[in-house]
Amino acid sequence: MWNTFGALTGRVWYTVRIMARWGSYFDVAGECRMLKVPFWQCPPFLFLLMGLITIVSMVATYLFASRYTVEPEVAALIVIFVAVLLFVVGNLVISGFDRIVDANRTKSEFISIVSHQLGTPLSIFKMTLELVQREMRGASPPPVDAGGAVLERIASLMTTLGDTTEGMIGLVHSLLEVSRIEARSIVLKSEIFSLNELTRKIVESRQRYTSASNVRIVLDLDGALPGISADQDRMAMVVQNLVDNAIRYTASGSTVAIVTVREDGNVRWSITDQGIGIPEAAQRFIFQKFFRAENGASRETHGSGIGLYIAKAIVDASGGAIGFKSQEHEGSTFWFTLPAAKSEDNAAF
Amino acid sequence: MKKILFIEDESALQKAVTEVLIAEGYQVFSALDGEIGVALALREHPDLILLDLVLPKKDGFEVLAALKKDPGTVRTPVIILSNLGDVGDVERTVELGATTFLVKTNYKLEEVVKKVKNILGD
Repeated sequence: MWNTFGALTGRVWYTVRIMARWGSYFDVAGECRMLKVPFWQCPPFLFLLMGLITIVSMVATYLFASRYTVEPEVAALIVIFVAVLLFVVGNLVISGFDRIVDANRTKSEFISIVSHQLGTPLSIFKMTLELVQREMRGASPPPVDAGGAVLERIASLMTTLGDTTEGMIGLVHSLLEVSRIEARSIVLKSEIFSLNELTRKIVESRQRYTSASNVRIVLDLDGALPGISADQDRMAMVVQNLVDNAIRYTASGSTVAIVTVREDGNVRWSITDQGIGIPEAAQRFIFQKFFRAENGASRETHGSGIGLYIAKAIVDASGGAIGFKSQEHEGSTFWFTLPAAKSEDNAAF
Repeated sequence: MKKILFIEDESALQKAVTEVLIAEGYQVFSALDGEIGVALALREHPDLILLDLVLPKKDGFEVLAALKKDPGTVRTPVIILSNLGDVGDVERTVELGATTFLVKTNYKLEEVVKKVKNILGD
């Protein structure tokens, strides 16, 4: 009896050590910090805890059953029953917590986006309009010397308002897209187009942003790239997000490289920056909605943390794949692949 | 001429506020991130600091803490001009030594100028 108990204790201890090693490997503490919840509400920690409880309960049930039951089959059945019950209940509890934690995080992040990302352009609107009014009343310096100067200044203020409006519209579209993805109501059009052409257009539209950020974009586009069949507007959102991120996080004076290439039956698009990179601990969260890596958020205050979430949802729904490779302080390469359109469609294209 | 330091990463807002303050006869220094903001404050010893909270490199709370630690800026009045307006944020900045907290979307430029003048006794 004691021998059996000793052997069992040794096995349980061994399992606990293995689980602890797994725990440190998966960095449960780091993950809980990232989710910003206490340990007792943190799903990865609860998962480990439930595993331990299940093992301890199984051992206790075995000891109890072997004491009161003569037949080992009955004891084994009781142990299996208790283990399955604990496993099912534990999983339900943990997945419930998981959903609550996720909903809570989403809610907080959403409030923060609304208060800051929408509040900022609204303040710009309010204050710039005030400047326009002052200018029209002739109250604002520099002194107005001619009607033309006033008009020129008002036009420049209007450009600020126009840019701010575009930014706000983009953010509202992105938030709507997130809600469509959540509701699984995203409907993709299917049209054949050239990814190279789309890339060129987007890079061109970002010229003011690239020169203001002192970043150079180099294109290495495969001239024989086949067309792709996807939703062009949605893919423009994906490319735009990846290009904007690369410009935003790369070092001033550096180069961003965009490469397209045919790969088996797919088209591969990639963008490489020489930016701050993504810390290893943050990499597994990068496609989650409203997630921003600490080093990125502290360097650049404009991101909303939904661009990559949307990009992944669109690429996945289009039958492709998306991923990245990153080294902190060195830079990142984000890529996606999409199936090339069939050859007969390509002929038409 | 009294000196004002404005630490704000949104250039359009920075231009708008700076313009009206200059029109009122103040000398204005601007910083686009928290690190430059602290460095400018320690170098220029402004009479008043306007400070945003969500800033690159060093956020407004860190900037405020750094300013209140330095003997050269510990007495400089700091107006927080931010879109964060939770009770927690306001309390934290007051604890750190901010003079007042203005939520950007709730104030007009002329009201901001009025606050500045009140605090500077102009």
